[in-house]
Amino acid sequence: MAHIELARVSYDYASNNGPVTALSEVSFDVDASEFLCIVGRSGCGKTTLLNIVAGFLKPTSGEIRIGGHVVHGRGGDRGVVFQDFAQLFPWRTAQRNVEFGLQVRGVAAAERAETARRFLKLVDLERFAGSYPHELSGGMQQRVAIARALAYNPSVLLMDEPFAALDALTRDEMQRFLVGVWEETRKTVLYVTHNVAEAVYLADRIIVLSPHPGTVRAQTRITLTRPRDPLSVAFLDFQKTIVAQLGQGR
Amino acid sequence: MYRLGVAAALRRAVVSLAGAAAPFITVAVLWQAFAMYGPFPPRLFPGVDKIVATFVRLLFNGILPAHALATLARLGVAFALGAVAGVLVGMLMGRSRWAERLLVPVVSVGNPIPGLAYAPLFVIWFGLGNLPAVLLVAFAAAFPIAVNTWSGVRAVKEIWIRAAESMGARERQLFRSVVLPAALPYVLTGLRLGLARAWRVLVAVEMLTAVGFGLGWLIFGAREFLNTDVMLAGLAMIGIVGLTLEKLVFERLERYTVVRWGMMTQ
Amino acid sequence: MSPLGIVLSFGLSAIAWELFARSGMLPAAITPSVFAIGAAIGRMVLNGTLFVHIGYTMFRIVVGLALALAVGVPIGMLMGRFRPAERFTLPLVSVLSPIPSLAWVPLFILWFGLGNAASIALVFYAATFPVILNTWTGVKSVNRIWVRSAESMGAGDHAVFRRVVLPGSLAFVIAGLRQAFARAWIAVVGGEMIAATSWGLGWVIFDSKEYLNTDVMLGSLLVIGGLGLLIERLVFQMLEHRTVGRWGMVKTVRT
Repeated sequence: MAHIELARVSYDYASNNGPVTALSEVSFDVDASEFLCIVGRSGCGKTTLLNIVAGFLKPTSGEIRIGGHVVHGRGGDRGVVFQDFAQLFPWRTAQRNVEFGLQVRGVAAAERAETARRFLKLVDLERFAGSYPHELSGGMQQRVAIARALAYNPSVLLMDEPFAALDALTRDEMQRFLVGVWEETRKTVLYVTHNVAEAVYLADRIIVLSPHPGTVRAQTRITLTRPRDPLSVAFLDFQKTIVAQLGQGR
Repeated sequence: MYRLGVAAALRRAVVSLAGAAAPFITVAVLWQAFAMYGPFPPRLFPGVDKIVATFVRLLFNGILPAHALATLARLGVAFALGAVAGVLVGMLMGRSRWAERLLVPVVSVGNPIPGLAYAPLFVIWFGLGNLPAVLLVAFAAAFPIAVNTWSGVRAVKEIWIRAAESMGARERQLFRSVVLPAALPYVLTGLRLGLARAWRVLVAVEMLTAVGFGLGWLIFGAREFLNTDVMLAGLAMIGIVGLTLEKLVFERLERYTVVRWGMMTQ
Repeated sequence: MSPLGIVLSFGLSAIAWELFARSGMLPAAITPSVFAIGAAIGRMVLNGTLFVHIGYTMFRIVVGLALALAVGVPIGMLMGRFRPAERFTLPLVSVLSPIPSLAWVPLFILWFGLGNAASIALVFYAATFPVILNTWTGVKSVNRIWVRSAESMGAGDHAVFRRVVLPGSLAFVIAGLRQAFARAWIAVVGGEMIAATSWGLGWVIFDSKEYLNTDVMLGSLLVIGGLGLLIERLVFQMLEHRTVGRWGMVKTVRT
């Protein structure tokens, strides 16, 4: 059953050189609890696509539905994690950041605190509940961001290259960690990245987006069982396939 | 095609002009309404027409320009004095531990004291007239200049000094080629703050030291005979001079500082 | 600077002044010794007048600042949020703020009479512009990603304003308050001097001129400066520490 449906989504914007089509007739579905990765080079429109699904931008034409309802601006059924660490509210502790979605919904203080701590435990940051974002490392901040995006139980998690700004070691750790969280919470995830290995590691299915304008070039189901070994032959085969798809028609 | 372009451009110009004037027109209308229907008698709260008439009158018979010039002249002299004193003191504090020890309390306690507060002291020491006014403004302006210059000298990175010394630079050269340029953005900031302070203190001082000529004195004197229209005309003149100073001097100085900062991003 | 260093510094300055006073460069009557100044302050403390004067001055500042905040913060927020509000208010602010607050004293005396009203009006005038400008800047520089995050979590306009824009712009609002206080301080003391109100630190200086009480004059200057410094350190630095300093949003500068 399709959870997220994109039907012929197009997006144009005005630039100094006239109107530019960033996305053209992008259509695909994401099943419930599926982990879908969108891969493309920088500038192919994948972030724009994510912003549209998140409701920050309105498509010029086409429709997006989550759970059967057309998506509009304000969220509530989605959780978004950006690449920028600055997404956390610096004036709130880690716990209070995670509580935000609940607070907006009017959840009582005691219950909020308990739920927040539960999610912080999920991301292994219980001990830092009372720390302010600037006191945490980049990886920790991203973990708090993930906890925050999950705490109010959205059905969909949207992630825009969340680990791109981290160092390689932390990034590997975070990828493993994210798979763990996903397996436990079973959210529908739409994950955008330019890193092919990362996509093969994380995704059930990969969509390759080609640039100028962004269109769906290929869809590949990754049939490896988890936990996946990035050095296995099967893994590398998939990686080669995706890279080839990226390189086509340049 | 061309004529359409000109018409459109003209229309845009008129619209933007209207937009810029709108706030002032609104205030003028409100002011006039208050003057006509408010609790104050017309002597105390003149209407816009009276104020404009007085302003124009004083402008063209030379009184406003004369006072404005007197104020500006004092500003120039006082600021120059204050700048020299401030930079010297700031440099001294930055370079000598003992000078710093001696002057830090003076400078930190002196800074928050409104320059004007020293006025009676200066009057007692130097009498009435131009001398205490100019000295006072110079004195008040020197504080922010000194503080900022001091910061600037302290901000010179150790690593630059070491690099220069290892390349054989000696005391004099070190000062000229490393300390001075490194401290320059701070000094410029200090000068900007000092000028702003000088301006504010000067107008007030002119009210207290009976200088005979000057915008502050003009406003102060006008209260004798309840010439509120003269007062407001004087205030308008102060506003114009102040705004001109803002645009021509402060913003230039700030842009130059910012440019320097950009060149010296650490 | 260490406490010992501070004491040492003040000691040195006092000695330097004493030497200057005794040098005879200016007549002894108008350059009182450190002890005379200290005695003058001491007298005012003992007979309580110092505290009355401080009380009046502080009252005027606090009321004026409160008014400035009540008016300035909403205006600044409106300006930051709505382009038309910004375009309307900015020219007015740019034209009025270069006029030194003290220039208005003679006019305010005629309008409000001598006494508290004129002083408070002056403080209000002096303090409002920094508050407006800083609040405006603060609202405009609220990081867009915070607003987006909040919106994606389901926050409505009102919640975004209360929980994101308000705390997000706090650093600037505090900076504005700091500048406003400095301006207000000048306005209140200067106003008290020019308007010759009957109480207040500024008035003490003005009054001491009558009988050439330079010891009282210099003493009051020290009190004015010391008090200003104290408030700056105690109130504002602490405010900054507790809020934006704790959140890592502003590097607190020690001068």
